[in-house]
Formats: sequence, structure tokens, C-alpha cells
Amino acid sequence: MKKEANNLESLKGQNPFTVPEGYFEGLTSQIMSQLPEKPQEKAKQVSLMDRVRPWLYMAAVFAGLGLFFKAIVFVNTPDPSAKPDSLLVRTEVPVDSFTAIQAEEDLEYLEYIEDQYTDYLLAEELALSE
Amino acid sequence: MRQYTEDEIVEQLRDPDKQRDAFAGIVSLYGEKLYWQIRKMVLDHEDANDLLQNTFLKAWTNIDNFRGEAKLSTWLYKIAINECLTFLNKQRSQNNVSIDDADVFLLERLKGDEYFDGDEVQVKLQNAVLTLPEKQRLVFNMKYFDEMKYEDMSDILGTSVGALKASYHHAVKKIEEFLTKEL
Repeated sequence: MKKEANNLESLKGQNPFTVPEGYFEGLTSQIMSQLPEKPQEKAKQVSLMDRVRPWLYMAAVFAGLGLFFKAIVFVNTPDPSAKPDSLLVRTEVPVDSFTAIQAEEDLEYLEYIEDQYTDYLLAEELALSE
Repeated sequence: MRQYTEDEIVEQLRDPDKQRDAFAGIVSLYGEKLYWQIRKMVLDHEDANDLLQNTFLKAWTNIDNFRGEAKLSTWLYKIAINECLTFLNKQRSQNNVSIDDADVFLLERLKGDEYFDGDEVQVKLQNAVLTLPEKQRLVFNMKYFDEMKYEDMSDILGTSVGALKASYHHAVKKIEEFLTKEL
């Protein structure tokens, strides 16, 4: 193991790699000569579409929701032209009949009140005539 | 030409009028170090030269994004390493070599490189280093050849100091075994 370690240790510090003569002396100027004048950060072009896209997505979501609810309402609304189920008896009551029923009930109520107060009214009239 | 310190250079980078001169200072300060780091990874001088050029081109292009939160050297090493890894992936793809296989194709380029004058033992050492996984090779090169501090390596590679020490230890062991077997 000691011998193995010595193998690697003995090679340390040696550099078998070489470079062309004067390479490092001219390195800075060589690299700088190949660079563009200004650091041109490629600014990403933000197009009108890029700006509008989030709003378009949002509008699409709302439009979709609107259509969805509209479709639900449409499905749940009965078609007035559709024929009723033959097993169900539907009674059509005209609006005027409600008024007629109401008037009849009022009359019955007045008659009932008169009946209740007849005795009292007669007694009162007799007392006045005496 | 006076060598500026990293802090002085970072300060000058913020001034548009001095930016280019400041960048020349960066190239002057780190050019050679980065070259050797790249060269140890790709072995061939011409490839290393191209990758160094690309590294500084990317750094210059993105210099306005450098906020000074990390050390300038760390930022540059990261760019250089990314360039190396991208290059090696392309080479592997061209040579139909899997990422798990040793990059022995680089050895052939090394043998043909006029800027390599190592003896047989040095070729074997490079061969042994090429048997290491990519990241372990980076760790080995940084520690063995450049004697970089583990803390600096940790910043560059984004790996804990403990993991780097373990990785280096394993790398040394593998290389010693390889050399013993080969010698």
C-alpha cells in the first residue's frame, strides 16, 4: 500500500502538458479580441401576444364557465313546446278564477259575521224603540 | 499592467465605462487557472483553448447578471466546468460512448497532441484518471493537480466538503490500484 501511495505521490507536481510558446502572455489579448464590444445580453423580446396571453387565458376560462352554466340552465329548463307526460294530469286554472274564489270567500265571511251579531243587533234595536 | 484584486474588478464592472477593462483584468487574473482546469478535463490543447474562449465569452455576455453574491472565481469555474461537461457529452455522443464508460477516446487525442510530452507513466496516470466517473475526475483534478481547498471546491461543485473528501479518497484509491495493476 505504501508503494502504491508512492506511485501517485511521486507523480505529483509534474505537468506533462505544455502550451505553445508565449501562449499565456498573449492569452488576455487573444480572448479580449474575440469578445463583442459590449456585453450583449440577449434581452428577450416581449411580444404583444406574450403580454396579452394571460388575459386571454383568463377570458377563456370565464367564457368557458359562462357556457357551462348556460348549458346547465338550458338542460334543466322544460321545453314549453314539449307535450306533458301522459300519466300526469295537469289542471290549468285561469287567473280570473282566483279572483272569483276570493270574492266568494269574502261574501261567506260577511254572512257568518251577520249571523253571529243578529241577536245582539235585534236586542239593541228593541231597546231603542222602547 | 497592474493586477487588480477580485474586489476591485467587481467594483469596476459596475461602471459601464470601465467594464471592458475590468473584464480584461478578470481574464488576466483567472485565464491561466481556468485553462489548466479545462485542459485537465479535455486533455487536448486546442479543445482547451476553444473552451476557455467560450467560457470567457459566456461570462462577458452575462456579466450584467453577475451580482457579486458568489465569488467571481467560483462563477467562472462553474461556467468553465459546464462548458467542459457539455463538450465531453458531445464527444461521447460522436464516439458512441456511454456516460458510464471511461473516456478512453480522450487518450487517443492526448497521444496525438503535440503539446503533451509526458512519458509512459504519465500516460498511464491520465488513463487512470479517465477511468473515474466525470464528477470524481473533476474532484481529483481540482485537488491533486490544482491543490484547491475543499471549501472552494464545495462552492463550485455544490457538494459538501465531507462528500468531496470521500470522493477524493475513493478516486486516489482507484487510481493507485489502476497504476499498481498497470505498472
